[in-house]
Amino acid sequence: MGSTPGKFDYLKVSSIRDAVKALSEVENSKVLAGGQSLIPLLKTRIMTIDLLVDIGGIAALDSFREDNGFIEIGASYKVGSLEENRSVSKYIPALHEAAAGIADPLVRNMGTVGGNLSHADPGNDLPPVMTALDAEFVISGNGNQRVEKSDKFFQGAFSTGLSHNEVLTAVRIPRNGGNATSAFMKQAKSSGDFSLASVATVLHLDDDMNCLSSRTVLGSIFPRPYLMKSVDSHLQGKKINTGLLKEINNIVKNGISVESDFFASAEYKRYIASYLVTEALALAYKRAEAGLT
Amino acid sequence: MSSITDIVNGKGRFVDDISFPGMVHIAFARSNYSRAKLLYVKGGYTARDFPYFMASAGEGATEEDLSLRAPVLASKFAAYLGEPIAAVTGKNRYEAEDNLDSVEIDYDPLKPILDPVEALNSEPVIPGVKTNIISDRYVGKEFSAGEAEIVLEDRLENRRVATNPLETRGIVAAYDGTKLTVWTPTQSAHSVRDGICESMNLGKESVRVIQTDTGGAFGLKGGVYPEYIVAASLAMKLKVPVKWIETRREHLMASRPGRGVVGNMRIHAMKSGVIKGISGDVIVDAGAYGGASWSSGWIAFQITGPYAIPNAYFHARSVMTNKVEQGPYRGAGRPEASFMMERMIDLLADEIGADPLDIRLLNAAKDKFRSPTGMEIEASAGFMARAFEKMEYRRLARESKPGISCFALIPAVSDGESCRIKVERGRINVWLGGNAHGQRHDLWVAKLLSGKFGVDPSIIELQLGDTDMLKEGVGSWGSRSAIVGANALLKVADKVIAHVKKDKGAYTARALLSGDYDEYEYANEKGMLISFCANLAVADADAAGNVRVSKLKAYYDVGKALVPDVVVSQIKGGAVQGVGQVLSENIEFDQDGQLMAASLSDSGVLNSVQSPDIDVYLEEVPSRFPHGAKGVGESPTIGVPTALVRAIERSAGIRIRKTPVSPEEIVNARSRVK
Repeated sequence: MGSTPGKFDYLKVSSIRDAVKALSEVENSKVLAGGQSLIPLLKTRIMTIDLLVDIGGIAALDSFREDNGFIEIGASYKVGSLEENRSVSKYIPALHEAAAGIADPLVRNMGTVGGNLSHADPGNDLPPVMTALDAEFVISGNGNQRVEKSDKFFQGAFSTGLSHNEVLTAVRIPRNGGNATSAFMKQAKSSGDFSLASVATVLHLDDDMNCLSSRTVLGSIFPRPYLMKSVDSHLQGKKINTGLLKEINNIVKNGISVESDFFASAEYKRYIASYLVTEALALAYKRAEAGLT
Repeated sequence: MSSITDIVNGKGRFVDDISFPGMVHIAFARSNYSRAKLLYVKGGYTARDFPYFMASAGEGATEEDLSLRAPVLASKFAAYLGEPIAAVTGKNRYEAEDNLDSVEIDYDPLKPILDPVEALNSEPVIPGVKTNIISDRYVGKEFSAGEAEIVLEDRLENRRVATNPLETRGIVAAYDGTKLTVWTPTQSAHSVRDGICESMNLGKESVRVIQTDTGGAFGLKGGVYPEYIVAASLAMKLKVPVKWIETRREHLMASRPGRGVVGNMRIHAMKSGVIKGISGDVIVDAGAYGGASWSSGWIAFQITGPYAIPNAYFHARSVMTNKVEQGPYRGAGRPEASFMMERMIDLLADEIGADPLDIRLLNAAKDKFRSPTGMEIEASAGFMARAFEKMEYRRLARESKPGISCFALIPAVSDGESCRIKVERGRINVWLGGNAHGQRHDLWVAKLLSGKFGVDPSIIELQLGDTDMLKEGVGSWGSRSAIVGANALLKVADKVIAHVKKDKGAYTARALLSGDYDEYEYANEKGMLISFCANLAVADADAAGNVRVSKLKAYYDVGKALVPDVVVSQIKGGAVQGVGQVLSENIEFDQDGQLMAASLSDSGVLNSVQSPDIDVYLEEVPSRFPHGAKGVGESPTIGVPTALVRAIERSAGIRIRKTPVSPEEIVNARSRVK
């Protein structure tokens, strides 16, 4: 019934290369970023490790860069920084909303974007948003770098496409041209702050406010973010109004197969998922109408 | 005790701040199952080393059935998840927890019985007993439905709630060859001493218990725990100081939580709304062993609350389950009783289409009233009218859907309390039998005593509990300290003054401070001191079932508020616990008997952002005591849940029968209504 971790070695690295090297050398090793999920796992001895590789000293990873084609967020960029970033709140409201809704200010001040994504807890909120934003995951490994999309990156509950000796160094969010808008909403578990269900949606609209394309993603209900293609295809070419949202609600409710667990019945999961999808779509669309994208 | 400034600045001296050279840390191997035979236990210190049983000490202590005493360390059978089985030590906490690997326990898991209603008729949850029912009483007088035009029934429930003080349990113990000294955060140093002495068969003179700064307790720290007996035993066996500090996970599974009560209630009434009687079953989820036998009868006793209900009859049972023993949690039976009564009154109001306040006023006591269970109250009707006038119920009811509640607070006045005042070198030290754990007893002690003695309050210091400095003591619980503690304080102050007069001919502050005085008294107290209280809440449930509390109000008769700021703060803090009980606090198990909460956040304790504020109105009708105070500490945990549940019920258009109520339950209930 521990409150202290078992014995492990600790290495603070100053480069990704050193991190990759250390991870390659010790099989039972783990990257430490903000530590908001990993430290509790170690302290309760749910997890024991031989080596902790702290990447917090790699200054270049705590970065936020806007380019013509994309926004690049370094893996060590804090969730709290994301919450306060004006560019994010102005151009990617879904990302701002997700960041601002994670746990409490103390956790957000320590927790990192890369950690939230790499830990891949189904209850985490950044995975569905990054999936909706069609982000690219920049991964460094033994002498090489590769880039993956979310469908390859998120593989299951607490499971990603990262090999043991690879580190997620950044995520790149393509800059939306034209009329793009987004929204994120979640239902927390009745106690605690992890999501029972969450929805991120990114809409691209034409000049007449019809949906050109969209990515609507359900978080937390399934082991990994779930891109709702049936919702997105139904939205295509249409204006969002009450009638359409009713149809979308039915599509979600009847279109997902879920099971009851300790936290919620299948019935409530379907209810809350369909409710959140329609609310998030309505919110995103309202933002576009108000010119607040 | 440390000053509030030191505590707020992180400079308090809590039990985990104590360190001695050579001190070892203790960690416990605990049952991984809610119910299992233990085939063998190897390694660590076990029941073979310390073959002790728990004694009944502290709040709610009863004359118990010896066959139901909990072992200090389980050896043949584990009766609940987290039950201590073996102890190991290490030179620090890390090493102690590493050494848990040296303990081997072989289990034969059995199906746990977690539901108290199932446990009424199930096979025994522990070996060696014939039934799980550890207390079985009929309370009140049997009556016939007779003239009642309406009889309504409902099943009501308060699920268990962890006490969850920010500082968990903990102990440091040291033995010098003749005397065992124990440092622990507590509501009653004397209960801890008595519990240790009884379990280990030690003389009271050979154990000294010293209270440390206590970071909240809420009922948790009223008595003694198995881990404390093990720590005391290890200090004596190893002859080095030992320390044990509880983790939050240990707290959630293996410290005594409160609530855990099911009521099948029947209300008998006339179409006019006049209540003729209330009856039903009260079933307490007592957990394993016999420690919580007291609470079912205590709940039944006070169900009629502030109302003049001529008939009342309850079948009150405490039943064992495969969970840790139930214990007192802020309110300790009072909130459960009020939940039963208030939920049934609201049900009746809805049935006959009456306003919930009108029906309460109609049934309020117009004169002194003795309930069929023997509870004696003064007239409550005037109080209720004033309370809801002040809280502007009628106006709010026109523009929103407030929920209201009324209750009669019964503080644990009985048996009184002790006090010692020692004057030396111009300073005044005070010890109380009831140990403060965050309520600022120091402020009323300084205020009352400086007034009595005519001295500057800054020279008066309330000391932490210490069994060597105070002969006997009861404890701080049951909204009692400002009543019986202050009463003892004033009595001892009179003794000091008399002593000064005898020495110096006349009393003056200068005469007092120029001498040495040391007086003690145990001020016995019998009878009850009941006061009336009322709450109001407004809340909305959104489409997802999430509740937003938009208004909370309290109107309490606290007698004379000795330190008004402290009274208001206590009400605000208790209101947060009351809201938490309704919206989120839980310690639920999955179907295999595994606990689903591992942290403060998991167990649903509200943080500051989630905590609504409460408007507090005090009615100060002096009590019969010279200081005039009545009880307050438990009131918000009694009245806030019932008012809030009603507000949610009205906003969502559903009937709520249970706390907590989850967003899913609100959505499901709403869809059934539609």
